[in-house]
Amino acid sequence: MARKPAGAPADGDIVVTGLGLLTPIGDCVQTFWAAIEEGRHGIGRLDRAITPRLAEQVAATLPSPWPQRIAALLEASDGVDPCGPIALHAAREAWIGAQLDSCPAPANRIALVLGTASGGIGSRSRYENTAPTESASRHLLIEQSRAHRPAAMVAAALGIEGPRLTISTACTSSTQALGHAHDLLIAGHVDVIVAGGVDVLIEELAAGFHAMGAMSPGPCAPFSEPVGMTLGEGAGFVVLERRDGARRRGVKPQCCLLGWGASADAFHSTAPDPTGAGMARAINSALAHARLLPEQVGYFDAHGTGTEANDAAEWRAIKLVFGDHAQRLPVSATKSYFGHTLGAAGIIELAAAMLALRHGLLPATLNFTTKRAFAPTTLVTTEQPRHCEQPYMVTHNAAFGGANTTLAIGPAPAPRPAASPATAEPVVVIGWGVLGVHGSEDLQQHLRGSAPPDSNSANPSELRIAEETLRRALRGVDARGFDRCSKLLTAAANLALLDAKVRVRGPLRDRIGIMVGANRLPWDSADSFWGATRARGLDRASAPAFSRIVMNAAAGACSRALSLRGPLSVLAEGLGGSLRAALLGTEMLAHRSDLDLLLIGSVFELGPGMCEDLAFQRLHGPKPPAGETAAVVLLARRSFAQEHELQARALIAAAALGGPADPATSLQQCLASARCTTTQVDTVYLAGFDEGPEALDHAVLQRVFGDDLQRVAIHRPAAVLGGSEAMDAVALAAACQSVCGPLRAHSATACRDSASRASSRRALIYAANELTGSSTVLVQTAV
Amino acid sequence: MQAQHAPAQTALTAQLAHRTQLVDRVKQILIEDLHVDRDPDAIDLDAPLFGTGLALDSVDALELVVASETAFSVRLPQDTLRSSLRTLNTLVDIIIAEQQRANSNANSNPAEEAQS
Repeated sequence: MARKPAGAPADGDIVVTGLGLLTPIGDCVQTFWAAIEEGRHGIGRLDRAITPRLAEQVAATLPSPWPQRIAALLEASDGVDPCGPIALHAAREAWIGAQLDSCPAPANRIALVLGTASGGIGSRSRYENTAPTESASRHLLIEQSRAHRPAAMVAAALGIEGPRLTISTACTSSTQALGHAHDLLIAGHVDVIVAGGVDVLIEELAAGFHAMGAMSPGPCAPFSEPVGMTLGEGAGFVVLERRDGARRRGVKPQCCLLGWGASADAFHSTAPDPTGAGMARAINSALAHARLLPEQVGYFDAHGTGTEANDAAEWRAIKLVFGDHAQRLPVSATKSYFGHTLGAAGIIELAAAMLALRHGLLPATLNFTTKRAFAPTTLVTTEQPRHCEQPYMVTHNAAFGGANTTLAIGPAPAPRPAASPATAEPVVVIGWGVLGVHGSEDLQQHLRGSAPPDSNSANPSELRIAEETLRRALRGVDARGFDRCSKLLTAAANLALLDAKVRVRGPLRDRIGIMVGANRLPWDSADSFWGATRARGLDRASAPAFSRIVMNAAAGACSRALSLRGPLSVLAEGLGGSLRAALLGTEMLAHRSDLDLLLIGSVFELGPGMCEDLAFQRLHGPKPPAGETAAVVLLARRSFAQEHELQARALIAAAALGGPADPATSLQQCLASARCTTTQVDTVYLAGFDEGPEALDHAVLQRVFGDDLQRVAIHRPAAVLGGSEAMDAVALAAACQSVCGPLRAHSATACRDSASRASSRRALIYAANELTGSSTVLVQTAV
Repeated sequence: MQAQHAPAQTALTAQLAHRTQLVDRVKQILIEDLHVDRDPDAIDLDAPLFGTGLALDSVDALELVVASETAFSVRLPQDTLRSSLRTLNTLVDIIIAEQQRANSNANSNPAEEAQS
């Protein structure tokens, strides 16, 4: 962020003060570590599967019966989606361990960042298997299936009043959750973060991996025989805070989260880049961020799923990053204890490394038989000495969609080079692409001039993006095999790159990433997946459709089509997700020397299920028509834009986020951190789609701006383009355009005022989400 | 002569019609399930399914096999899958061969069929 809130540290260590776990090998930290010490895995039969061929599979499931508290919560929530209760069980242990009950922090300064690959898929499965005539049940189920539900439940139960974020990048979800939590704390957006992840194994997930041919016949044996993975489930959480904050609360740090890195393979929907170069980029980025040299790393906790493709690529990546040191670096794959816990893998594996650090004993790779041709020289097995010699550790994960993420931990930061840490660099917007019912040209003109869509329209599908618009936006892009959601995102991203006159090639490919907000699983791929399982049975599921029913599938497809090999992240929280992506992306650009550009955006796909749900909602009250939208803006480090003579169209002046309890927080914090008063704001873009002065976002605006509001031009793009959960991304693009172009008549009042002050204009973008909280971004004319 | 040719001709016509039907159904799988973004008529029966042709990948291959097996009630032999999946024509050839094999098995050994 260009400017930090008063009181935020310029630089600080992020420490772990609490840890909580619920895993197949233990329902708390103590029992988890005891199993690792003893070399005992938790892999058995997938007895909850009803389909015979899937029930034969081995899997690491949570010990049955589940702890009583979870059982009670499950009953209260109608037995659907155990993710929330399971996450809460682990989060509570972390919460208590960090003494947040006895030495509290202000509730609105505590955030929750939860990573989940498939949170809510249980409800989605029930939705897909409920007859279309049961529209009320289907509406309820589709709402319950939203990925940000577990975070809302955990936060409410623990009394967390700050923002709730949900990261969904398949098997790197919780790894990324910790990374983004690190950045939020460094920038001072909040004081304490409960960060982690959860995933629960349901039959569809087993069916999907079975269809991919990825399963091992026995308990997984990473880097040895047999080849293949074993699924797991569970949850884990840490409490993270700045060292000075922990000291003030009188809580002892357990270890330090030194840094993190992410990359995209831009190679394939499910298989890793076999050269290991994609994974190596994430590991290198984490080491640089943590200011560690490869030789300083004393333990590498591998993703090590057990599949041929992953393990070979990962060993190549280790050799690429660590060179000669790879021959001495102890490596183990802890999935051999608790299986592949998908979105929870990152945090549970980090917990193993943290405890290894604490106890001075490395986890072994279990089930080891014969070493594969491509396997680490120094694989830690039960036969090897397991003591830990160097205190710095790296844990690494990789995911569908080619998303890689790496974390680095240690007892304390490595001794720093004498040079002071680089100061935060300003971040500018250099282009955007917006697709909506208007087509893809001149958004401002459209927002000003056109009549709103026909609100009496009986069929909301009329507001779908025209095929011709999509085709034109994808000209020259290889989008073969993409589902609609992937096409929409790629089209908007392509327009943004064209708009900014950026050509992604050569070394730039490694220095551009993509971070998007997401709201629902891609509709047509979900239809294909469940359509196939209904027709053919769960043991004959569709592999390609399965690979696309993860929240980051579209971003992964986009990264492949446009060669984006930098970080890839997805905030699965509906409205506001892309503003949060802009906030987190700005932090990454401002503080990392290995990143120049980030595409930020969101897609709202009007699939048949969405139209059906909207039609149901209209039976129960007026609702503005929905409009399919895809919007992406291109952020750049300002110095990069200057060096390459790319026009800075707007400057990201500040961004902030808040919890759902007080939706004004993010607005106030955003203005404060930009040292800007309400009188200096010319335009406000509201992302919500409920119109009129009674609308929540309008009321909040009224509260913060008071009488100033009469002077401000307020836009609600949804009134013109149709309601959409990607409207925050559209609003961001529109706001950037409003501060960049020549002064226009539509904001005549604002212009008269601002003209007398300066030529600089400011626009706020605001989104309030009742489950995740509010988000605000302030952009201003770039000078 | 004419009279002798007639039954053969009818059989051939029926075979061709059957083949066309299969081709159309596989095209439907390619377009609907595997997002091949082309009109059915624009799909070349001899173009490679993978790589430069229709750009399908290894995951699509898994689905193409399962979807074809389900649609035509056959099992594709695992050992020759790679060559069977080279083009749309090779895939349809193997499906027809397997259908015929299943039929002749059923005709020649009805007792076994009944048992299984």
